Amino acid sequence: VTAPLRTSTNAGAGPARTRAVTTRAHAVRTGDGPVSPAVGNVRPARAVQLRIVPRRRRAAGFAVFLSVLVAAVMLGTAVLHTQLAERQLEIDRVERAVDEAQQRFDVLRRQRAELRAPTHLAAEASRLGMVPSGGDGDFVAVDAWTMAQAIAASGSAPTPDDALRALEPLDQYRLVKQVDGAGAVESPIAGNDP
Amino acid sequence: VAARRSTSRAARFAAGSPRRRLIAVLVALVVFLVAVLARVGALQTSQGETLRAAGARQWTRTREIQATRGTIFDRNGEELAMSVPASTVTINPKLIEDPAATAATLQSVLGLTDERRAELEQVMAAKDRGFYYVARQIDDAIGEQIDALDLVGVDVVAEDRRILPGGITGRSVMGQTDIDGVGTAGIELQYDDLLTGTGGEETREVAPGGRSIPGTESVARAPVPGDDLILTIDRSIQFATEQALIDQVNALGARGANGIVMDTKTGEILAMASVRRSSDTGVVEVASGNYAVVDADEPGSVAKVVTVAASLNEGAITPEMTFEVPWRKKWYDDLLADAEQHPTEWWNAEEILVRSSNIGVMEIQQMIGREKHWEYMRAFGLGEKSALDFPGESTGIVKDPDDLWGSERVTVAYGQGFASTSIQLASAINTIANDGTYVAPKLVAATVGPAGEITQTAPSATHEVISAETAQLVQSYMVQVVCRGTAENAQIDQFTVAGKTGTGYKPQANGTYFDDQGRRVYFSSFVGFFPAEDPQVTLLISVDEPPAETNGRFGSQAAAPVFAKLAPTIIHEQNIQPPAITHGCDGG
Repeated sequence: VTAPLRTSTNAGAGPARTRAVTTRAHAVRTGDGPVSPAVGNVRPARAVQLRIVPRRRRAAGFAVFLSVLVAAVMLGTAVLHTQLAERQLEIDRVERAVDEAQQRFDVLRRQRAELRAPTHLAAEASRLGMVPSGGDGDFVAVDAWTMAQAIAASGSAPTPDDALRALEPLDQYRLVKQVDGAGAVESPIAGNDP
Repeated sequence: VAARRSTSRAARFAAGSPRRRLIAVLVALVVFLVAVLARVGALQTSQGETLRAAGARQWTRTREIQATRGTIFDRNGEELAMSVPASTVTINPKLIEDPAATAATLQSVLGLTDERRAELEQVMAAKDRGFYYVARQIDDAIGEQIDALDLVGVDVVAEDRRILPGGITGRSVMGQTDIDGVGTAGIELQYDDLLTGTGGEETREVAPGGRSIPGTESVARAPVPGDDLILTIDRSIQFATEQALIDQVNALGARGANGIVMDTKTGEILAMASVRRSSDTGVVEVASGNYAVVDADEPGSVAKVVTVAASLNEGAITPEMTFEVPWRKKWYDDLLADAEQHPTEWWNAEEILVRSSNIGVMEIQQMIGREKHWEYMRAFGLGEKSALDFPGESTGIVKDPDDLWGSERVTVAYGQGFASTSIQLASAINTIANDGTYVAPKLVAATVGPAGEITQTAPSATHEVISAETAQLVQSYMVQVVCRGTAENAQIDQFTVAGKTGTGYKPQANGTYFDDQGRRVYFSSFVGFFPAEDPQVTLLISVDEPPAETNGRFGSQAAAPVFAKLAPTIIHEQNIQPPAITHGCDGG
């Protein structure tokens, strides 16, 4: 079946150009030979209803698809931006918390250093009426069981949660510096996950 | 034909035939757009950076962020010097609208004096500068109070403050920084580059008029904190040394004192203390200068150990060889004498050292010769800066043998006619304690990098000066010096001590060893080590200008007792155990 011809004429004086509008059923296959246009009384077993889709509807469909796509992208972008902003806010909050913790650590580190200083210890010892032993004092051996009982009673036995407290000042300082310096955190506490 | 063409051209642009006009307009628009695009391209590429920077300069301000200065730790990780957060208050007088009110507010919060408030008000009113410090490195809490007031033209910025948490303990070694955190003395100066770190940059947006827009601050370049230093110093031993020296200087009425505690095997300095009596107040306190390495004095009889060790090592003398020792003898037109009068005796090297005989040790030096003696002095580290390379460190004075004049040629044998620093002298005697191997003194054990990693410093350089056999022989002589010689005051319980006293003279500005009142001026010392069977710690104590009129002027009275007083603390802190077999003074 051959579709009807549409003819268009150039505005100028040139030759008329024709364009064939074809459908999928516009040709039949005969034997093994090449496809040839259906001619004469050769008819298809069932007539196919063909129609030309108006270009306007196709454009409208495309426009709708495009609008949906754009809207989806915009929505996605908005969601992404919102999430980024939320993450940034969270990062800012965490960074502020880290800064505050760092400052608090510095203040406490200073206090501890001052309290542990020999000058302070000597002054406190004198204030409490303590005097140097004079080098002739005797050491008294402490029974291990008695010591264990004393530790248990005072609750001063170290626990995993107290591990950081048990670290020496330099180790604590290095641990904080590792975090601050963006280095891999390697806990100096054996067997303790960072 | 021409007329038709003209008519045709006119017809083409005539009303009612817009095609060509549209094309012309289109072309013009395209050309214009291309020009605009080209200009935009040029602005964004070749001139982009310049213009962006120029724009940013108009509405942003950049401030340097100070990098946190590294901490100085002792060998046990205790802080000796550290930087703590603080605030600095500055003003921009040009922005301040009410100088009187602003100055009054700052005065009330900062506790300024009336004079300072008036000065501030004057600066604010003058408006001839855009920056002025009000108070630097104040407590953070006060800084926050001022910041909360939101005063126009008043800024509060973070600026660390350097502190010594242990007070002035170790100040002589640590040195100090200036208000800007730059090292000006001591370790702070020597390792300033390492401790300083790299500053960062912070940008903030400003509104017209120069006021900062809150919340626009951003770190353009993060500061990198300085490395930390881990010294070989033990803070407890340092404190104990300083206190012992202060007590002794007060007891004697001396001018000052130095103390050095050194690990015999590694050369690590466990304590290095200098105390001085203030010329203004008369109070004795830890000195700001490290006189143990900066000052060089004649060591006196401690140097006899070097002379004896060198002669034995060279085979110039033997332990059995004896020398005729009168109490005084003429050398190079000078009548030189021992400290105490005694009959002429025949003494071997041990006895000469135990009795600290000047005459005897000069006889020994004659056996080895001046040149060889000089070579040994240099090998013991005398006459050159130590490996510490401390700021202002003295090389001491060891003249070439050919430059020695008169009786100097022989008096160098007993420590007169050359000068050494305390660290040189301690290192020289430590060579004997370390079985004849000189080990360079060391003050920095390790550094801590930006990510907390510890980097150990290289071990101290060593070189053999005398054989182990000779060193052990001299050690036994030095044990006898403590057991029955001039250093009995250095004995301690449970440990055998080896050492040598020294009483040197201090040259005066008048070119003599006497001050303007005609009195000798002394520099007394004791250098010893323990346990003598396996030396682990070498300790030098020197007292500067003990009173000439008392027995306290001698090393045996001025310095040796400090050694004995300090040793138990060192033994405790270093957990030194008495050797399984202790010779003691009886079993020597």
